[in-house]
Amino acid sequence: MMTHSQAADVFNKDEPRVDWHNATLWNVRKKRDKAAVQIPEWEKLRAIASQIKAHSLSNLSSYLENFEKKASENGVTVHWAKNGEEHNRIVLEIIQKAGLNKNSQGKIPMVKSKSMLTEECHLNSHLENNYVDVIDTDLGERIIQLRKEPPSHIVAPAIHLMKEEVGETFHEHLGVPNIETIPEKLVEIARHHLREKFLAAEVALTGVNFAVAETGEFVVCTNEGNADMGANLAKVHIASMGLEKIIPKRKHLGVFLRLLARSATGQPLTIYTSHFKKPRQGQQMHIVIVDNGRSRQLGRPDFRNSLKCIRCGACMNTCPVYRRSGGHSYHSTVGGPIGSILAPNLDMKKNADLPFASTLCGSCSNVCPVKIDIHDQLYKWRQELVKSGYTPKVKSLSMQMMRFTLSHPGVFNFAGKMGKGVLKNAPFLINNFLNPWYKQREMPEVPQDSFTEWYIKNRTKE
Amino acid sequence: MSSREEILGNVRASQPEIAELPELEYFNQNSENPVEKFLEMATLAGSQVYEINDVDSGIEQLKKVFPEAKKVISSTTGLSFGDSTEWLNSDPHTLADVDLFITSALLGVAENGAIWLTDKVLGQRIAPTVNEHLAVFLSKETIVVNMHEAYDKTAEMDYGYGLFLGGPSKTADIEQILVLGAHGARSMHILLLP
Repeated sequence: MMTHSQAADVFNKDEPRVDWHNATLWNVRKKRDKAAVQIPEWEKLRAIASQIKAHSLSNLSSYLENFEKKASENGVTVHWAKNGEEHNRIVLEIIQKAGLNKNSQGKIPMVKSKSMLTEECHLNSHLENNYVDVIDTDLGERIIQLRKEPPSHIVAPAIHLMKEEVGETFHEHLGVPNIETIPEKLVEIARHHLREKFLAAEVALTGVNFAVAETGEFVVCTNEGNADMGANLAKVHIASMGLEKIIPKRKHLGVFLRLLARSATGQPLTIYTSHFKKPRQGQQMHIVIVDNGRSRQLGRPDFRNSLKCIRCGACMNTCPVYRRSGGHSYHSTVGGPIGSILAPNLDMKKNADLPFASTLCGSCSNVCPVKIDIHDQLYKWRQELVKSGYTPKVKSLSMQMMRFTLSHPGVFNFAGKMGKGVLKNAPFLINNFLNPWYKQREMPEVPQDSFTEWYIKNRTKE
Repeated sequence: MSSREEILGNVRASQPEIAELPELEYFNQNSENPVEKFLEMATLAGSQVYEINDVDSGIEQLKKVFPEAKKVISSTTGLSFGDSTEWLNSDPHTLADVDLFITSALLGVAENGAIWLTDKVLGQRIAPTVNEHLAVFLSKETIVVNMHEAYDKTAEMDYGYGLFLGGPSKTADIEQILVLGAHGARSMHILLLP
């Protein structure tokens, strides 16, 4: 597996494409700003949202129990999964026990709306290996499913693709005779293709944006209406939720919904903001509550705030590193700044590079609708990873050399002289793969004197 | 130990000392005229809004917009347009060829142009999504300033499925270019009653 910086290197080879990606994401950030400034109480809302989440996390066990009680009273079956594997097993069991019809390929047809949690658990491959035909129905997700790619952004999963590539994908997989490049026509093709899937589906799976402890209802947000199309037609509705999605009361939805879409895309509200409380007559409704490392993250005082995240993607859109390295460079379901503080909790060794994929400029923390101290947590993860010995060898080695040099003045002076000599006579020793500062940069002109020599010459004369 | 017990035990052991739950405000002071704001925001989201005097003139308006609609259904009784009874008990899949669905919203939200619908008023949950076009009667009196007020006003409503619908179905998943009519209704017509 490539590290973030290696993958970013590959992404950066196509400069016009990087510029295009950067501009596309920045445009979304600008829409967010325009929407936010129209709300005079915006900053107050962010603070309240952050406090509600802090409270929810501090009383999470009771709220989870209450949510389960209320949902059960509403006729919904609640399941608990410690990890991704258990989640996948539960989902498959629900499907297999429901006595559903199979399609002509002998598979049970299922439609899915966007759920980053099921990506995190690798649900699709598990179901496909067990005779379930899984169709992602969010347009962006369907495009990348056909291309067998992971999402590159949690809100806009196909934001890394150009319309020509979408046209090629539909040509190859959906039998479209030509390569269509007009977005309206591409959407029309997808509408017809997915409508067939919705009407044929026996089971629908959705994510959960918010789960209300007070009432047992859960809210799913989409712009396309794909969650509603799936859940309101299928015989079985399964909703997968991370355990941190709980909020105490229904009235708190007002706070989060005012922030979510404005932060994500600059819209005042998602088009379909749907509240599922009870199954419709004859329908089965299931909720799978998933831990998968979340309770562990809750126990880390430095990082528990990351569980406040409402998945708006604003930190990605604003991040200079994300915009210029692309979502796939993060090799994690949730990429960008928030993903880089969530991922090391899941697998410290595999994701040790991610907290370093940041300039720590702090823009992520400034746009976060629930005021997560993202850049502080990135910095804290770096310290944690160094202490635990998970940092790359090159970085640890150069840090040790730096510490030794800076704490020994004699060595420092000598190193300075040596350094100048090297820059002048053997620049390749510094401008090499060990030193990322020289990527796409030229060597500076080497001065005649070191600063100390220059100071002695110019200042001590007076 | 069951997974449930294990998870709840881990959460209990990990959660910090109780943090205070903040008081909520309505933030509805000094707001613009809610009806005007609703018109502006609904139009911005792609909805067509008509100010009408009574239900009959609303139906006339719809007949003008959809002169060729073949299958029209309605969850609002007593309209002179479309079937308002037969479809209610049919399999939801059979509604896929509906050209126009007419319903009545319980509430409108000025800050985002959304309307609130529940399964009680919809007749069938799939009705506002599976059709080609959607028309909604909304009384100006029910328009609230923002989502805080909206949740307050709908707190006592009994529903199994409730929906804030903000306009026609849309997507920007291809190069962030906005296209209407992704999976749900291609157009939404709001008939604004006094």
